[in-house]
Amino acid sequence: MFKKILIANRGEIALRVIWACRDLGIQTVAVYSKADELSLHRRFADEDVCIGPAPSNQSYLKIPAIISAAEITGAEAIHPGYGFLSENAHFIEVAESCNLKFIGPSAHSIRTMGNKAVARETMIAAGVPVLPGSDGPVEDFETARSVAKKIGYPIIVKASAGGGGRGMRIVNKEESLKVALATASSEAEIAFGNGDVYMEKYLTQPRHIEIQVLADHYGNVIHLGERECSIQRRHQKIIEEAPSPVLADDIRQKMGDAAVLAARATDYRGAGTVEFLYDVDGSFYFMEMNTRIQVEHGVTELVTGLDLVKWQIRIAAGQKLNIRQEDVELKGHAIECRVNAEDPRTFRPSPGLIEHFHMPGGPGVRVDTAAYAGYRVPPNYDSMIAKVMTHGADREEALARMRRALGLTVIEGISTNIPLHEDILMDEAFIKGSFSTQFLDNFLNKI
Amino acid sequence: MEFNELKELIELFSKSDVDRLKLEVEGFKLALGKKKAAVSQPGEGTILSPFSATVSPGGEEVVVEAEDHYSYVESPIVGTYYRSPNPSADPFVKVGDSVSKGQTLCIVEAMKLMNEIQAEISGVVAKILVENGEGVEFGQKLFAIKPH
Repeated sequence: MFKKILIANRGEIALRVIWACRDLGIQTVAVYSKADELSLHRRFADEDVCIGPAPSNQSYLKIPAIISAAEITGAEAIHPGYGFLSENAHFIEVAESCNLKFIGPSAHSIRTMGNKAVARETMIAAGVPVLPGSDGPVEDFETARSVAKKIGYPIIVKASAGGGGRGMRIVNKEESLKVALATASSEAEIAFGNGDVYMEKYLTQPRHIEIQVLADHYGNVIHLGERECSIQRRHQKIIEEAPSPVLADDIRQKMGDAAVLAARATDYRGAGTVEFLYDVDGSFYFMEMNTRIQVEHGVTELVTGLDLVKWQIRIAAGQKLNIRQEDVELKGHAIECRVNAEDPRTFRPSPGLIEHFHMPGGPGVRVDTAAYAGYRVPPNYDSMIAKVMTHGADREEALARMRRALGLTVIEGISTNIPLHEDILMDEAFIKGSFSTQFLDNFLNKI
Repeated sequence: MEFNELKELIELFSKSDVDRLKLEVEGFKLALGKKKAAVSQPGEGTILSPFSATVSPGGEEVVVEAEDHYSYVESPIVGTYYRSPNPSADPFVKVGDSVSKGQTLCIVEAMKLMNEIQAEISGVVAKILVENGEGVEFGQKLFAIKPH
């Protein structure tokens, strides 16, 4: 087992890794930028190293600074958290060449799943259901036109190297196809340095349902059930839950098996998530694989009783997964609301000083946060400041607990999206569990 | 350091105008800092953050920094500080040496690359704040230079 781990991240996820390391008796090294001098992850780590000024590309994304910090502190392994360098294949290679263990999958898995077109081909070969679409990137307009005709409109043009909603165009009819291909390709070229685009059938009202997987170095791969993540604004999730309110047991099993197939197909190691689009008729299609621990991993921990970050560390240290698929049980229902430092109506970021801060407690409540009273939320990083999670015997109890928890949360001095969460939790469609990824857009247009 | 001494020191520090105090004595290291709130609302004063004192074991000689007339050379990168170009050579500089702008003062090694750190002003080396072979972080003060 590792003696010392460097955490190449900040905020709540850095704290999350520190918790797991403390449980396991592992020493921690925090890295922080000048903007994070008063951060909790720096405070609670056993050692800390300032790695640069505030801008991420000069600090948390600066590979030499992170590696150097590991070298001068004698850390043996690096946990990358999520975002930043967590899915940077080059970083993994540099770390390994410096004899540092990366707590996550291999550079190869990340490259395979990072290229959307390659990921799609890999899934087809493995027998994982994918959306009807093109065979890799489309080379010319005539091919594109006939593929689109075969798939049937509406279709979506997507950047192979892309993500986060960029380099994408929805096409409803053939007349718009040429322009869509050209603009998506230029956008992709500018944003990702790669103008390749591929095409897929576009589902208008899908649900985003993802499956958590764990894989060790001994060929054991299990899935830990699903998370429903359809409540999104501009492809950013804000509410997640486990399990999904609509998934029937047999479909859950099929999706779980498909996710395990996907993980095996890329020789995956560690914790990962396979994202699916789920259609109203119960069919599901591979969308992408997230080769890292995710923000919303906590809801899976609440329903399974497992500590995913500890498992990431154990797996990286060469330990065997001692959980069999038949041992995995989802108990009750868990929900997470991401609390962001932003205006609840305009979504404009609201960095600044938190004057009063009180997190909710009581039965079935878990809060992951690195904020505190007197903390100055820096403007340089993403706006999420807390994850409020609740667990209950069923969805109704989890919802009631979430309303209670948010109602008893105090964050003053900055704006947060808690009022938006409270409105969503009172919405009839949300309460019934009948929503798709379109929900939040429609909801915001209504109010 | 005895608990009462520590308590007294923290109280003294809180009441004083000093913003930051770093104290290192044998077997003991203390850093105290005050965070001042920016004036964004009327009536908002100084807030002493809950995160204002860190105590950690281990240390070297007594080093007390304060706002003074030195110009500090800070490390621009994370790495290991070396005072000479190689182990058998003489140090680049020693205390009391006169240095000119652009002169190499030390090396900070990061990932096997030797980065030369240069003086940004001319002056006299008043203090060397790090030990040979010590790990340094971004922004860490390496030298105190008394400008000419």
